[in-house]
Amino acid sequence: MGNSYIPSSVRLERIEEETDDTRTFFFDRKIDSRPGQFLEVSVLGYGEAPISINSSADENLRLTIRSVGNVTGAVHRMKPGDEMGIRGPFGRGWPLDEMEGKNLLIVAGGIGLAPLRAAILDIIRSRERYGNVALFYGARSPELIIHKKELGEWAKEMDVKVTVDVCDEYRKDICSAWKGDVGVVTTLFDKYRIPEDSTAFVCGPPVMMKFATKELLKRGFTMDRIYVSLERHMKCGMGMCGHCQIGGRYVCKDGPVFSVAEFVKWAEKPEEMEGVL
Amino acid sequence: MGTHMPPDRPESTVVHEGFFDEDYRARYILAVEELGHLLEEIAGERSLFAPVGDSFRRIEALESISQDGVRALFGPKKVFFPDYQEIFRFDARGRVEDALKPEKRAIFGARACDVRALGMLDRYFGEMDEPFYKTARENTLVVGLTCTESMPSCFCTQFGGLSDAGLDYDIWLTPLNDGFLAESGSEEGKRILASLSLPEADEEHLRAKEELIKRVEESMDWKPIPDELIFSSMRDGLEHPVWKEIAERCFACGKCNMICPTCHCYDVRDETDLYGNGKRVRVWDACHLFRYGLVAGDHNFRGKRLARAQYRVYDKFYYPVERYGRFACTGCGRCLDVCNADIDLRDILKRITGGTAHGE
Repeated sequence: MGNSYIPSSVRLERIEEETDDTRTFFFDRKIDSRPGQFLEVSVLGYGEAPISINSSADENLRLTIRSVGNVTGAVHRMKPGDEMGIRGPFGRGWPLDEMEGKNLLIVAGGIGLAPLRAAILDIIRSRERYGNVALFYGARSPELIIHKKELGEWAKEMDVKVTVDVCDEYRKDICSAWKGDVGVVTTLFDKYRIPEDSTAFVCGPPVMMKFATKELLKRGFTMDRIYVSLERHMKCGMGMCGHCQIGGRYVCKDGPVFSVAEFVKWAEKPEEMEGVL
Repeated sequence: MGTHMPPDRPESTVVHEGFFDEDYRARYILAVEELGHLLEEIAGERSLFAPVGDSFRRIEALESISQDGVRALFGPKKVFFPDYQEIFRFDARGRVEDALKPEKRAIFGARACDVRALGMLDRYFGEMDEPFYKTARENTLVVGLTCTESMPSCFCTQFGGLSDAGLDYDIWLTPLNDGFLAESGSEEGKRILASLSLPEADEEHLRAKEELIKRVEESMDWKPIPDELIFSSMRDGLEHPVWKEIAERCFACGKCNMICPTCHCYDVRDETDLYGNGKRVRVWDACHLFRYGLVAGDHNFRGKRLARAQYRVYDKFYYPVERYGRFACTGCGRCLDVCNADIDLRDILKRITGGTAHGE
């Protein structure tokens, strides 16, 4: 029997700066993944961290990583040519197969756009298979927007709206150039048209997913038409170590993407849904 | 993958039976003085683990094996799922050496609660073929032993009791007046018992076993609650005052996690020397501990003690029923024995199902 904890090796080819603490890392090979799945990234001597896959299956592996801990810090110190380990892909991603012919609303917050990028690329590649698609993206402030260049390209294929939480006279240096919307991402729901009868894919910080879900429910979205991607510290990725369990489900294996309708049946609700269900 | 069907089992369908195959059944009588021969036969090509004092240990001398008539404080979980397991070693140049090495083993003296717990670990770890557990389980002969007495904390009658029926083992021994009733439960167990040229057991021995089980089960201070009532009470009981009460008493020390024969959470971490050589290890973790739900950026998804105390109990009596159709508690009572706050699962079960607390 094989030891499924041993990572396989990938070589870093290129690094792109996204924000102060977030970079996108480009590797030397493709992996067979579906949008919304994640990898266990392994740096020997530091350990492993679960990182969502940023690339679609038909391009080389990319990971957008914020430096927040030991493992991600070690990845940020890597240089092109260095090798690191990966295990996976793990988990159940965005249910794109079920979205054919349907309208879609993608709601992203901050670095939460990264796990949605592969889904967006897959939609654009088979654009005719989907109806109206809108991407509502919110970041705390203009310098924290990721995938800046691509957002412009995606706007040719779908309705892209970007907003920042705060931009006022106290931040003139950054904000004088900002011509987009100001306000949290849910304010876009009233400013712009949400595709009719659409299904929502939501990914961002816990509090953002909570309010996005709340506001979508108010606007007539049924729970089975809202999907969220949950974040937990998966140590194994295989549904065994227990760290990602909520209500008896493993986020790593049964998720990380769940429809809000699923939570209703769980005895324990995810913290992201506090006060929503 | 791709289908959005959660593993729901809305109906409470609690089952107690395992994978037992009647074809492997053979029954013999083993005289007390023959027990040594059986153990030597088993230990011949295997490392033997049995209770010594309060826990299962590697046996060097057969005389050291505990003669107690009831479970040890620590069960045999460590033999299959060590508290500290090397996953692989690596050196500073990034070379990796696999640490998965099968060892032929046998455990002797596992009780019904211990083997029932193994059946639960089989499900948890078997769902994804966890390599270390699976390798250990496939290479370990399991010799069970019927209890001849109970402890004050025992309440296994809630979960199938002392009987080996439906448990997954190789050989089962039951102490009787004139030796042991020795029963095989696997092809390997059948082969080993046949090799000892023992007299066959008869109906009277089986009756004596039933009487022993009945006597010991009746000595336990527990009146079983219907499985469905436990399940439905848990489903509807999230707001029950009992949770707040135990959360106020609980020290969140994780001892109940460590001692529980079905708790199986672990952490994966790296250990290195000054030169950058090291190993990746798997160590037991506990859902009661504060940092269990911690993620990057210091967000804690289960920061409240109430949420953690409640979770452990739900992960014994509710979630495993949804996922596997069975309770993950075996009534061994170990968590009661070690709890500094005297939190008693039996009280929780009684309270939540509408009864009064133990001893009231």
